[in-house]
Amino acid sequence: MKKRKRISNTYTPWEMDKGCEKLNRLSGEGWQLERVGAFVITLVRDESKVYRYQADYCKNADGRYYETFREQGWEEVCNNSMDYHWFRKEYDSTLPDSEYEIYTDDESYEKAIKATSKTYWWLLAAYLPLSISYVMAYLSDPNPISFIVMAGYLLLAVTYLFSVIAIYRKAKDRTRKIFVSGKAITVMLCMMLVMLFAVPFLGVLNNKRTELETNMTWELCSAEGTAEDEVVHELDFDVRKAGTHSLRLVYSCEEAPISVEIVDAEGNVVYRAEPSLQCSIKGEKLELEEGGYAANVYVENGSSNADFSISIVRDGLGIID
Amino acid sequence: MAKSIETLTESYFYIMLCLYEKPMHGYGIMQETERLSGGRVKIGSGTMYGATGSMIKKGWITEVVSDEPGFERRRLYELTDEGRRVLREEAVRLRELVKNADDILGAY
Repeated sequence: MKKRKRISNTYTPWEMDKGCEKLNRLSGEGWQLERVGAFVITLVRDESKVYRYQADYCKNADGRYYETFREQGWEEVCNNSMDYHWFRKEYDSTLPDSEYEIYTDDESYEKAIKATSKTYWWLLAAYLPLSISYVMAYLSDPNPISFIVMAGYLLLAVTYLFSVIAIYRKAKDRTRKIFVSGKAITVMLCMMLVMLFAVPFLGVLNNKRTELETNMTWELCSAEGTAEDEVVHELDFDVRKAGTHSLRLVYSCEEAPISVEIVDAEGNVVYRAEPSLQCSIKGEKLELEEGGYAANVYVENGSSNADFSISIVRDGLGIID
Repeated sequence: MAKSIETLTESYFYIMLCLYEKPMHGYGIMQETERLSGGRVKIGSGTMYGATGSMIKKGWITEVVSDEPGFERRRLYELTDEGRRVLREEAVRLRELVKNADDILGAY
């Protein structure tokens, strides 16, 4: 069973030379390239040979392509779905470095590397207008969710823009080390994935909403001049999104009791707290639908030294909407 | 095909020069170029593939299959009439440059 080693593959089109330098170094240490995957490069232990590697981008690699490489001693190791081909040649230190180059003139190198930018141009063309529309969406309705979606698209558009710029700069000067590294892009894309997962989570957090919160105190409640023997406080509130709500009802008074009824728009009673001088309800769950409600507080004539508070809050954690 | 003056890179020039007398395969072109340039001009596989592809597209060279005994079905490149014209024009252009350099620089 051959020993294998895996290293990360964060090399971008403008860092392929950097990647091959690493492969060359590892080959000298006895690790030969076996396969290049999307994120991982697999090497196999073999100290018997030393190779030099080159990566080439070629769409529609035909028989002529392979023959052109084969006849100069290059052997294909692997290729990937992004039209990259990895070649190797046995290293002979008596031969000049040019033996291990596949682009021996700068103009041909420039042309070849610019060809890799085509995908990025298309992606940029798609993501730029998308990003702009999400920016507009955020500006017209700023909220945490639309911010995150906008940031995600902007990040992608910026990544593609940087990629195109990096490729063109590398084309102009192939020895140049480009500022935008593949590692940085990988980090940015991971951040983007995290943000995408944060969206539904934040959506859940966003659920928490105080529908009603009122405090009242009175020294003496007088129902003089009313039909009933009581004063009714109608506290209207709206439920914009149906779901589980938590009711907090805490009050105390003297002489005459208070009762509370929560009714919906049709007048159906969804909750009733019987008349009493004291009440301490915390965390009572109410299932409320979308629509208008009212919390009617009935204060019997003569009720005194009252301290009343009520709050209805839609729960923040639970099923993702 | 528009008649235009194109300046060729050294790789292009040497590839076409090597094909002037007879068709050749890529490796032969690479070796001959190195010989003619005294080891100075090397044509790597990537450059070769790109250059020959481009020249095929422009109609300067074509691919032929060799019928040489032992080399049957070997891929060869052959210069077309248009390719010959381009090469000659380029040589004339270079001659003009070199002549003026000779006149002005003297012995160099």
